Amino acid sequence: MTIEVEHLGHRYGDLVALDDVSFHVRPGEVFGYLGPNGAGKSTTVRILLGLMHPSSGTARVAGIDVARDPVAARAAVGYLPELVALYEGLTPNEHLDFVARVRRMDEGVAKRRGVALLEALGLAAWADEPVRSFSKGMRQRVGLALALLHRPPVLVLDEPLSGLDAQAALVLKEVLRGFASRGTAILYCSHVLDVVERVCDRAMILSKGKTVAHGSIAELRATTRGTSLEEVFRSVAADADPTAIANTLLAALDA
Amino acid sequence: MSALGLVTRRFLERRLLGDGDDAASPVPAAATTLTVSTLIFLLLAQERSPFETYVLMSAACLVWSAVRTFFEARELDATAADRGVLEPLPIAAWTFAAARGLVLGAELLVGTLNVALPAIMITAVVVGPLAAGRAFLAATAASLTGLAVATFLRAVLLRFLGVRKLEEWEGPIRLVVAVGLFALLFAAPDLDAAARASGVMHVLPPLSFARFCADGGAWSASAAAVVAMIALIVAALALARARRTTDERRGGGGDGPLARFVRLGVADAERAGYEFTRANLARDRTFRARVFPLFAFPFAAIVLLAKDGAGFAPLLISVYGASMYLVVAQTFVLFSESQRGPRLVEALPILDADAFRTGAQKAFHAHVTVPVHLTVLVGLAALAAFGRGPGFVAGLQHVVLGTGFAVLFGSFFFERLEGLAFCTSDDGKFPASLQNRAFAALMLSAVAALIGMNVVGRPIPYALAVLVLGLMIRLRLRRRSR
Repeated sequence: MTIEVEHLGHRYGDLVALDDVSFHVRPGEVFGYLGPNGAGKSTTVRILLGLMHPSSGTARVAGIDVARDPVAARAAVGYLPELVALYEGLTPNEHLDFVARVRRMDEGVAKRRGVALLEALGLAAWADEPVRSFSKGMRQRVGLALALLHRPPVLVLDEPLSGLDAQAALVLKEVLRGFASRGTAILYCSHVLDVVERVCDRAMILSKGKTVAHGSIAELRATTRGTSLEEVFRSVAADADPTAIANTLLAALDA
Repeated sequence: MSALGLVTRRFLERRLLGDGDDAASPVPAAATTLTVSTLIFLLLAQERSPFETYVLMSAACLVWSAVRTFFEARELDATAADRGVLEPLPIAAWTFAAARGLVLGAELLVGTLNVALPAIMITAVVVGPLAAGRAFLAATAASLTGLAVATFLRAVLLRFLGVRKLEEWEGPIRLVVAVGLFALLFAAPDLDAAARASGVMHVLPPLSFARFCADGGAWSASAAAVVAMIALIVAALALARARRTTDERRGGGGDGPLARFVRLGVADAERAGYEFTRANLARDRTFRARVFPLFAFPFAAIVLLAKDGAGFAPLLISVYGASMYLVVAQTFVLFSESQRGPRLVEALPILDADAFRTGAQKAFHAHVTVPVHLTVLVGLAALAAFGRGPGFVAGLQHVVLGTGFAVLFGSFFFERLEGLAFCTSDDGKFPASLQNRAFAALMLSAVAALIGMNVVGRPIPYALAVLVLGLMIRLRLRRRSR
């Protein structure tokens, strides 16, 4: 197992953010981690990156207990956040160079890989431009290059398609499949259900910090008799009927 | 290079180059404090004894380091880019803390040298190179002590208030520090007597280091000083609690009678600009942090009046000081602490930008200029009640003149601001346009007036004041006629 989460729990004061969550992600597997806003996805990610200590339970990445050795755990992880924040005055090349140095990569390898990544992601022409002028999608692609640079055994992606155009999104989905086929374990956090359905092998649905569904996509559909993941999500995680909420909203405009 | 080296270099580069537009490097918010400290020190140090000189210089260095550490250190706290790029990397948490410490130390060293250098040069000429060496030691030691004290206080306040509350109180605390500096500067001749009367003074590094440098004697740190320091912290916390309760009772808003009166004179078309500016003046933490210390200018007039009576210096401070702080304050009105908020305004159909600007201007004067000057008037009345200062009538004249000049001068600049109030994302830039040039010209005229006061006598600065006033009125009339 490359990601092992056992009985993970976390509290923010009285608020229970995670309650007895367990899952495993095997090498070569893309694991969908789903849930509405506030379900506990980001808390799990921060714990997996060693940026936060869990209140209970354990999390291991590449065999490393993240609470005991967060630095070693981060060395094994490539992470792409939903909103990629970059140093506005630095160029993609300078970002890559900095990350490669911190990760103690071989200079030649880092250089070649960086050039290839930027080329593949369509950023070669902007490799030496400060990122301040970049669009959201371009920033997302720089973030992806930073996450993939050291060829990590574990990838943690938080809404990775956010801001990407259709072409880049298609490329990323193929890249994820390619990475998985090379043995990388991928944790894919999202609430875009159709993408998860197409990209992931298995998925877990969280709601208010608790696991409400867990299994392969086919198993999840079978459990709730839903024909799509959206229906599954609606039946296990949605707090209220979306149609009713929409009607209330429209009615408010007539007030 | 080690991770510590790489991260330190990254932080240094960010501080030097900024993460915003390359065209302008970020201006530290403490720059105003630094400039004021140095300027006033230069003016006053010449006529003081070595002991007082050390006190003044050390005070400037202490304030610099304390303000710098206390508040601008947060600029070294994790930014979004740090969280996005650095945190996921295999770097131990202590590395970030160490890197920030190194960058802050380097900045303080450079800052201390900046503050101390002119003072040391004067000391070397007036007293001698040995004294200048001691003075430099005193300045450095005061800075380092200020760093330690400020770091400790920041940690204590952070622990009890939290980041948000501390940021909300940033401006008022900086104001206290800046006013404290003025008080220290002007009270220097009586410093030893004051210190004997108050244990608090013993805890101030400038006094201790000045005594150490001037007399070579041991500097004391009595238990009373420690108790006084604790009492100060407790008082600050109690004040914060009282303030919080008041805010909660008010429901986060509310106008005073003056503001309600001014609102009567706000036309419907100006109402949007007035309300938007009024809300931001009260709540924009960056604005408060930058502008509150500048209120020390008019308050300095009170100290001067208490000390020198109705001399020319108070007039100069009340007129020029008010003008200077207003120019800077109004420049900061342009900026919003929110990076994304201004986009909301950009997308709005503001049909009459001039009316929006006029409303903003009225809000500024109703909620900043006039209240500050009225507070000064209360201070002068208090002085008059104790038989000090120039008397209430003379004080009233100062305040009326200062306020009138401030409103006139402020209006002139406000109309020329390139942009709407609180509608520009704050990327640490100071707009390099009319405001800067005018500010520089005003500073020069103030320095010229001060020099004139010392060298030639009173007529020249009076003439300069009238000249500047006339220029303002003329330009204002010209603008209206266009």
